[in-house]
This record gives sequence, C-alpha cells and structure tokens, in this order.
Amino acid sequence: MLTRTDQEIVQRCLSSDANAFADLVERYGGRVYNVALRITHDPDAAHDCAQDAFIRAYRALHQYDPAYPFGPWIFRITTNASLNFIQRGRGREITVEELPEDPEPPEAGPELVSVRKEEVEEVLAAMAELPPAYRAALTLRHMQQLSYQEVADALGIPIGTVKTHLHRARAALKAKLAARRIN
Amino acid sequence: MNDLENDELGIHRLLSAVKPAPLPIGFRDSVMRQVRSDGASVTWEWLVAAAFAVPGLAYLAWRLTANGGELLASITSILSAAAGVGLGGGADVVVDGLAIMSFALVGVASVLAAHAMLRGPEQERQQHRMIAR
Repeated sequence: MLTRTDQEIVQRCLSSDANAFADLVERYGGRVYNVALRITHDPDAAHDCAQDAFIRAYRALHQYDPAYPFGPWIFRITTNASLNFIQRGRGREITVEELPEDPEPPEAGPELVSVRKEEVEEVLAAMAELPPAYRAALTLRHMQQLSYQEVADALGIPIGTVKTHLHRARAALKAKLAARRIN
Repeated sequence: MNDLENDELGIHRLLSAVKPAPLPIGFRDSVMRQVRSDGASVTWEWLVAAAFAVPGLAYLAWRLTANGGELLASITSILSAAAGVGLGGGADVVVDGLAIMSFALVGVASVLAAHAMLRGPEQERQQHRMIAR
C-alpha cells in the first residue's frame, strides 16, 4: 500500500477530505499523547490535551507550512496545550525561575549506564518535580528524539534558549535523582 | 538525532529508555468524531447566519429603495449643518421597529459568520467555491 507523506495528507484534508486527518492522528497520536503525558503527568489530562492539540491542528491546517516537517508543528501545539493546562489552575508548579541557575552536580553522580525498570520509574518521578518548561524540553529532546532546531521550533524559543533550558534541566534532573538515591 | 552532545549522553540513554505509554483506546475515533462535528457545526453556523441575515438585509434593502431619497436628503442636510455650510434644510429619519429588528438580525448573523470564519477558514473557502459553481 502506498504510504502518503504528511504533506500529502494535509493537502487532502485541505481539499475537503476530513477523513484523511485520521491518518495523521494514527501516525502522531502516540507521540502527541506521550508528550502531553510527560508534561502534565496525568493520563486524563494528557488525553484531553492530546485531543485538544489535534482539534486545534485541524482548525489551523491552512496555517501549516508544508516546507517544514509536520511533527514539530503538532508537538508545538501539544506543548502549548499541555503548558496552558498546567497554567490554568492546576496545583502550584515550580517555575523555571525558582530553580538555581546551575544546580551543583551530585558528588556521587548516578551511574547512567544500564537502565532498569525501577530506574525508569525513578527518572519519571524526578522529572515530575521539574518545572513544566524543563519537562517539555527534556521530553521533546530525549524521549521524542528531536534535534535542537526541532525542539526550538516546537517550543517557539531560540535554539540558544533551548540549549540553556536543556542544560539546566539535565543538571536539575541529575540533582533530583541523586537526592532520591541518598534518601 | 545526530546532534547529540557528550554531556547529554547519560540522560539521553536514561530518558530514551522510557517506554512510551500506549495511546488510550478509542483516541483516534474520539478525535475524528470531534473533527467531523466541528465541520458540521461550522456549516450550521453559516446556515443560521444566512437565515438571520437574508430577511434583515432584504427588508433594509427594500426600505432603502422605498425611502432612499429622503434618507439621502436628510444625511446631506446633517452633513451640511455639521460643516456649517447650510442650516436651512431639515433632517427627518424614520426608523421603524422592523428596521431595528433587521439591524439586530444582521448583527447576530455577522457575529455567527465571524465565528464560523474563525473556526473553519478552509470550510468557508469551500462554501465560496460551491457558491461560485
């Protein structure tokens, strides 16, 4: 079966074939849901944010520039939807400004070589304690494997800011993991 | 991803090992249901806007053809008075209840049309294409 490119599917949607959008939901649904899940840390909220992201994307398809890949575009919408969700009256979240600029790296840093299930759970728990903007950057960069440029496009911030965010986010994450291990 | 830097290798290995959570069952269908209902509701908005606008505009157009001369004379007198050119002319503008209702209907139709336009610019273009055919 011939696989259509994202741009071809978008074109079909724009020429009044709404059903073609199902292919994009099928293709990106999992990744979009996981981005929302890692940012919100709530499966129900992630479901709502991912759904909201697709609806917004569908309404804004005419604004999508087919010269660029579809992935970062939908991730940007998802990230915004998820960050907005957190901002709108959920429990108080730590902001980027509240973390030290460059947290001290742990003296006995975690050995990040082999990854066990408990380690993964620990990482996810530590990630949940980071500010949402850091969670978004880490998710897009390391879980969704986006390049710096794509993360910058997805978050709508300059590439230099992405690098700074990621550097601080990784340092904060390492510090939180070390603290958890000491406890 | 080929721009991975040395200092991110450790965290990258850790985070990329996190298994993606499975997509909730029925997610795609629920999105598509909303997409389809979104399109349908935009079409409905256009229909309701047209139903409001057509009688209102028709009545206003009829009033304009029937009393357009008087209205034009009144506006000219008002403008002349405002400019201080002539103060002799009178200005009579009669606004009946139906005209007010027509303005209100056109106003509501405009709001609905603006909303439909914002929600479905592409669907709006399709409607224009259908009308053009």
